[in-house]
Amino acid sequence: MSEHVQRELEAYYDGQLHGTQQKRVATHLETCAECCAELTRLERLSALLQEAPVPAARLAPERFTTQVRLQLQPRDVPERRRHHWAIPALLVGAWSFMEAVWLVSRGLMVALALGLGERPEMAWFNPNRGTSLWQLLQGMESGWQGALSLFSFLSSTLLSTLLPLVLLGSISILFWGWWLAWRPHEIKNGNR
Amino acid sequence: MIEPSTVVARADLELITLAQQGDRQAFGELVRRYRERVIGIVYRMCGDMQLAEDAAQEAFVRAWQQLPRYQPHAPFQSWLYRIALNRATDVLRADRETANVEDLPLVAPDIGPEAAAERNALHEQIRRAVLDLPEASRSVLILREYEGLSYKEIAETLSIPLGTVMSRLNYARGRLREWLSPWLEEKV
Ligand SMILES: [Zn+2]
Repeated sequence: MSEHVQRELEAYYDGQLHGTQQKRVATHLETCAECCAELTRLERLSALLQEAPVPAARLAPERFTTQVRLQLQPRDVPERRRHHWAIPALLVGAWSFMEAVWLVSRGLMVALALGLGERPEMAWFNPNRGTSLWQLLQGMESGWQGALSLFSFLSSTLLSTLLPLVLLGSISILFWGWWLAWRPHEIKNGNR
Repeated sequence: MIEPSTVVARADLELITLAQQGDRQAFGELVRRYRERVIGIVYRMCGDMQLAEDAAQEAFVRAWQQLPRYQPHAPFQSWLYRIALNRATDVLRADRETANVEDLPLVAPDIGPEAAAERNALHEQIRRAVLDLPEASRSVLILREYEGLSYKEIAETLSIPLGTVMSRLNYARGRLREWLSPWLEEKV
């Protein structure tokens, strides 16, 4: 008689053996009363366990399902779509940064105009180094040199005014572009 | 013996995808499909129907919250069962004294009072024997004996190695055979 199969018997009983392993146990069981009895005990235990029923549920199936559904929170936007919000968030962030810079620089200019810039420790900050448009216009009389400094004054003023406008414009164009492109998706998915 | 499929049924998969996108109706259908099995598992784990129903509801709510992270290549059933078993463990931890003997299952009306008492005693004995198992081997036993999961599916559900599934199952069956021996011998 072949060796007993006690060790594999449980897996055999649970249908977890395949191929030669399964065949070997089956062949052994044909001739071994001892292992057969062990198999019967496993079967009997399963049958006994099945005799203890799950009691009837208190809630009818529909009631149960409804109660679960009432507790379902609208889900967070799935990760796949979450980064689409990063675009406008980034744009709004950039816009706020620009606004803040603009406000601070205006504030400083006002401060300088009020004479705070005359303090020696602030003097380095004054972009015009004490020159005013009036002084520059007066300087026109002194020929090329004066014209050049007037030109540089005007161009730097223009640049400092136009650059924020251009940046703000492009930020808002990108934002509204996102709004038109993605909002319909968001609304559709959100209404499910 | 039941051999449940390891792959998610096609219709299930469609419902899961819809539910992942926030479709509550699709999720409701999944609840309808798995309600009985989830309640059954939790009941076998904690031995109290009221607790089991509450915990099963919480398990479904948790499943809804975690659904966006569910990867369809893992069997949905295993994933859901894991959530249910975790919930059952939480309930047991929170309410240790619920394992006491009350809340007997209703007696079928067509049998005499003596037979009914006897049957109830047997049910109760089995229920208590299962509840007396350590949680780790109890969950393996429930998934195998009552849910008919394969060893591989049990391993996936509980995130334990296959060898551990086998040793825990062997332990659980050994203990149950010992505790329930009067009923096992009687039937010879
Ligand atoms: Zn043998």
